[in-house]
Amino acid sequence: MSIDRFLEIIRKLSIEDRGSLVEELLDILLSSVNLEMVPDDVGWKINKAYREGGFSRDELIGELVYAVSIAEPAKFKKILDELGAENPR
Amino acid sequence: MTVFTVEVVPKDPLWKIDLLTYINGDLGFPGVWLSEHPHNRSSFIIASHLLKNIDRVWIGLGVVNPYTVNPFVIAQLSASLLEIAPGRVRLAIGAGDKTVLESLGIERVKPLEKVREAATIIRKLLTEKRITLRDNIHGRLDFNPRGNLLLYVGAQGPRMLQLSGEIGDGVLVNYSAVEDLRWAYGEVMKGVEKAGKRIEEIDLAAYLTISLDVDLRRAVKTVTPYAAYILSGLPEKIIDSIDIEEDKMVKIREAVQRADWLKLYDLLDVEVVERLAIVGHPKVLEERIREIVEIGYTQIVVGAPTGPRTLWALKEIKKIINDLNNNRIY
Repeated sequence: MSIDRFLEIIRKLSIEDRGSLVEELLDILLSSVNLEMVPDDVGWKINKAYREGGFSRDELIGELVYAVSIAEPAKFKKILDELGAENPR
Repeated sequence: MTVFTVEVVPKDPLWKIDLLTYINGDLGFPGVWLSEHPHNRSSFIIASHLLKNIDRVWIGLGVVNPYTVNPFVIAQLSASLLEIAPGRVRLAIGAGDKTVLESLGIERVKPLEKVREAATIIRKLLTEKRITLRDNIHGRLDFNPRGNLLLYVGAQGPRMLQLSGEIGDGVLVNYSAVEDLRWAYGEVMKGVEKAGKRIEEIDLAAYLTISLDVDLRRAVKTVTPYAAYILSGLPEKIIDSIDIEEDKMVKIREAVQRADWLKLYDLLDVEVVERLAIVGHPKVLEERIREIVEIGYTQIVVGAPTGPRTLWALKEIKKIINDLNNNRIY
């Protein structure tokens, strides 16, 4: 399943649920001990998105989704299962 | 008034350290302590970036030891940071971890004298720009340091705690148990009295090791490597008060050296971890803070790892601080 398909599922969520999901993804990422696996440019895009309140933009949520899927695949799969989706990449 | 600050460990990529520091500023923490360890990113280089890019927090470097970084260079680096952010730099010096220093081929000789001398060199260079020590050892800065640098001493053992009270503008005490912090306070007081100062003149910081989660098991798992690291460097007086066999201590030290975390999960009992860190439900931390403030600590450093869910834990800690503030316990 592509990031686009995952984003389609997120788009169907209410604004509150979407915000909660972004926060949960961000918490997983910031708590990860595997961040050396995340490409620096992806990390900086996420950093910038948070600082500028930019997680309303799909492509930046996509970067967050991608980073979490790399750093914490097991936790990410759990979220996918809860959303009724499959792995994004 | 007790100030609450946060520790950020520069072991993660810069984009995360930057974001976490930004979030801490967002949450209202006025300062961030960057821990220094030769296996991690350089706290000085990271501080340079953070001070330039985040203007709402001060940055503390600690604990830097004069064995791995020459005190003249510590002064030079600190003065350079002050130019980036006048008044927003704090520095903590200490003796460093004996075992880590040995692994780098450095013998930790006369730590008390070394730290005292380092404090003299750093202060003198930052205030008068030149210093001459014995045996023709001298140094100078050919530029003007901007603003003052608050100099802390990181201490655990009795004599270093006394020295910190004597020479420090502040003290970082890396204990989390109330009994240890109470004892450390008494030792610092001895140094304060020796110097003819008042305790109110120094910033006494409890550098807590914290792991919060509603699930105790998860909280313990997250903090166990930190607890083991602390345990392996404790002074004998504190180790004696912890119920742990000598051969087990040897195994723990070996596992810390090898960074064998799986082994450490087997070796450290929950009770030992709870003795060395504040673990579990946020209510545990709330109660502990009340007791620590009562002892007389003026700064509480929310130390790593904070919990298995970093953001959640930081927000819970902020709620606790707000509640305590509303109830005016400090």
